[in-house]
Amino acid sequence: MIPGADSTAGIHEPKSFRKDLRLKPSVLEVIEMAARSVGMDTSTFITSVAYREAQAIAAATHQTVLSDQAFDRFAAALDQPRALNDALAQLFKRRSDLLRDN
Amino acid sequence: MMRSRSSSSGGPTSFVTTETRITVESFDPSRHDRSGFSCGVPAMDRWFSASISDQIKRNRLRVRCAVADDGTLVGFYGLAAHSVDPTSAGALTSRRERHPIPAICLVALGTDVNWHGQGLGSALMADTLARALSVSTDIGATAVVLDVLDDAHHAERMAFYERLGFAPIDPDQHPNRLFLSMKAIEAALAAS
Repeated sequence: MIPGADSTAGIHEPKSFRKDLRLKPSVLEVIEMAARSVGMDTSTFITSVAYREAQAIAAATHQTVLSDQAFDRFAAALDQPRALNDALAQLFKRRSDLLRDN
Repeated sequence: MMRSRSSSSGGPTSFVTTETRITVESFDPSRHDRSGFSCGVPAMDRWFSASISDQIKRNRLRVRCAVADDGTLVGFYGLAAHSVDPTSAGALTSRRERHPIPAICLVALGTDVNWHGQGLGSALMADTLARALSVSTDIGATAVVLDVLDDAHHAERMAFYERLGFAPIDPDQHPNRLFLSMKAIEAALAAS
């Protein structure tokens, strides 16, 4: 059996809310099979996966984690003097040219 | 033709067309009616109508709205604090010490479908970058980071950003996450 961990296990609250889901039969079949394969009931499995994904989405907005090699490349790129990008300058120039007080 | 004006003081920014004045200002749910707005991407419309208030209340996000002179909401963009972290954050290696690098995330930018093709998106992009640069002078930030929406227009969007100098932050692990350094923004703004 593939071990699975309930990502909400550390949240000590009663399961006081009910959420009805509408699922495509084949999708439900795959989910139920996966839940059984890790020894979870379907409800816990869906909640756990969705909660983990929700946290990852929230984190992705505020953080990028890079391998050390990729991080070093990124840090080096920031330090390099950048050649003037004409398209970017044009974007600002057009904006600046057309500036008008409110 | 789209005309634009920038405010570096944090106040409203106005873009002026021959027919309509567009003001860019901080999102205010009591004044900005999102019910009629659609940027043509359902997921982004849902995010804009249902998600931003929660994130703003929790100080995770700031949104600026583009409003026509008749009060119609015609565009928006959202910015959030961001950090680029190495896997071995803080570890002292033989070569260098790696610490998280602060950046600013352009979470989303959208214009109403009725305004597509009129340059409003480009104008808002310029306003976004100028604002990010302005913020970085008060609180250090090295780059603007954004995610390119992976839909049918992905190649078109990617080409637009790459023309402006954006590059993938990590082509292997994060191919759709692009960055543009504040140095590049500053240089382009100075040359404009």
